[in-house]
Amino acid sequence: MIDVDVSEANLDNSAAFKSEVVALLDKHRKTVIIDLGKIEYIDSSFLGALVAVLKHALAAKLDIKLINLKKDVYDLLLLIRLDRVFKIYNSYNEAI
Amino acid sequence: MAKQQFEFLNSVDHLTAAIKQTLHFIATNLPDNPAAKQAIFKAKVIITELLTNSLKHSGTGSTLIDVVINRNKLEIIKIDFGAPLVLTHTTRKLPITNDVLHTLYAIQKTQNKIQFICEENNLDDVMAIDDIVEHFGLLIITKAADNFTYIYEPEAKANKFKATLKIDGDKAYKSL
Repeated sequence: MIDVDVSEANLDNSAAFKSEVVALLDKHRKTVIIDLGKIEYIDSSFLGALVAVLKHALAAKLDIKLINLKKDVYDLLLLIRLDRVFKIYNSYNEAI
Repeated sequence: MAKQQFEFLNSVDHLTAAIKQTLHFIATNLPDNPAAKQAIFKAKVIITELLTNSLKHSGTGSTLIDVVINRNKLEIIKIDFGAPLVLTHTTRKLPITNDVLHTLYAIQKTQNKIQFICEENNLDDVMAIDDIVEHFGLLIITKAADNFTYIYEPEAKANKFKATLKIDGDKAYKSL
């Protein structure tokens, strides 16, 4: 599981996040659960990184699951319909 | 009416503080109820994307954000003096991005004005994830706002991105 340990998920950390998740996928070849519970502010750059790592995972026959989204983050995913492409769960236990 | 202009340095280090400062002004001029909370959420994502767009594209040191709150609407206007958008005059409805989720269009309204609109596309049972775009900034603003336009003012050499949110006057406006 990856704990995104920032409250501001934006263009300052999106590229590093994408690189780290892609590296984990390539190394462990397992579904990755990403805990977004600490994120208060998320921007389009970070959402783009999330979509990029999902594409990478699916191409490798793996998957990405998102957990613990705060209401604003979840509402933003709903707004641009990314709830239809990501598997979203309330908790780690629900996701496994 | 409540109105205020904010000036922000185009630096990622100032981004969150800038969003918080602008949202604080909006929140203090709206009551604490569900309609206002929805408007504040939309304002948050709009301001985030307007400022992020400036960081990426304006090429200038600072950005102005005007906030105007009327009884029935909230306007958020980003102003910068960077290079203008290239406006095509070849078509009135130009697709900017297209995937299985959305098609985002720019509609030429006048020589110096574009309106952004979005259409939701029908998802197939088999998702074409690879098709999904990874650039969501304009899409987020277009979907969050009730109206989103870009205006270039040649005399001032100003780019103005204006997002308008309708608010329910009886439910979401605090008397000033």
